[in-house]
Amino acid sequence: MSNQKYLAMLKKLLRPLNKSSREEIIREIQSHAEEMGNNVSLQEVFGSPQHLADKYLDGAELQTSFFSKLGSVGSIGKNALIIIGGLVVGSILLVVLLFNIFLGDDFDYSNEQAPQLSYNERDWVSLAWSKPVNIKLDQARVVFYWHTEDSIKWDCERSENSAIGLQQAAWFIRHDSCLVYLPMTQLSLEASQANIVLVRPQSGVDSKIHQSELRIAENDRRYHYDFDISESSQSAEFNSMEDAENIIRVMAVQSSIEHYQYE
Amino acid sequence: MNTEYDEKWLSQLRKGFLELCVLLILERQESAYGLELLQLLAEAQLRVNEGTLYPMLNRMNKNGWLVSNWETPNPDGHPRRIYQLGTLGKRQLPVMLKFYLEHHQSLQTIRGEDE
Repeated sequence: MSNQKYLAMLKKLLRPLNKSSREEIIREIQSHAEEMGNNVSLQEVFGSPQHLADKYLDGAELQTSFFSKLGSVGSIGKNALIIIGGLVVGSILLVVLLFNIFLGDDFDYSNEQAPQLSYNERDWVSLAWSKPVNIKLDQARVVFYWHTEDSIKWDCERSENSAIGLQQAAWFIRHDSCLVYLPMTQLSLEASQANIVLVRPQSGVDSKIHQSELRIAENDRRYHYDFDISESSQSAEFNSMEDAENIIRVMAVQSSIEHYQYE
Repeated sequence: MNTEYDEKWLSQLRKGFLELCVLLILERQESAYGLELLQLLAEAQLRVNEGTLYPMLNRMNKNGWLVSNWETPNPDGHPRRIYQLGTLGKRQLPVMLKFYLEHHQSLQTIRGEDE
């Protein structure tokens, strides 16, 4: 197991801890690995990620205080409360779990230097492309990055051939989850029931989204925003700069536009 | 005693003893980072692996026995998490040491090693 994979797995296993604790642990292990030299295997030094996570979680403050609070409730009806509470908590956990599975971020997608993005086990597919890009999304979850190359590069969870393709002069991504690098040419985007992240766009973006969630990671870059928001849509506050190099136009129907925040 | 109980007993004793040793090291030299602590413990013939030490430091930090901050020793280097004794650690150390030494003395007496 590579060290990157080890750390990614450990980070997932440490999810019961709060985010700052988790990140501090990962950072310290990375620091130790660097101290030991590049060739050190974290698996050999620290044992399996599960074993190490168990040690960190042993005695740590976890978010399981619900049932302990029931101790103050009178004994009559306590069992009923536990059962009802269990059902409620179970339902909430199930919803959260499903939400995380389908929409939760595995890592901070706005970090363009994240090792996972260049992780050599990813199956990146690349095609030369220097023209404006038209992309249609249908029930897809896509994170867009921009690079200086004249190419489109992508990695999708499903087979690279079926996941993304060129149909009638438009790229089409359906029922898939992808990371996509775009050239610095105008992007036209049409999306239906999609979850989209734009990471520091470096071209103009013209988009129409329907029942979708659009999140934008500005990464300290400024944009001219032109939003056309229907009544059933919502948008966070974006600081639009009229003289910005790139214009991001969004026509949103039953959709939301938010700042990207990794949680 | 069964094997599982034996291991648990030893593990608890070892954990407490290691915590005491870490507190003592940090009292003696004010601050240290993880790898440095491993080396200092090894010099004292205490073989501790990384998978034991780092979670323990993390726990001691959460308990307030230690405090930590990140420092980069030189511009080209990588940051290190530096540990120091926390307020609770400074208070706890003499109590732990007294407890250990008294009980060590009792053990010696029982075993007839007392002079």
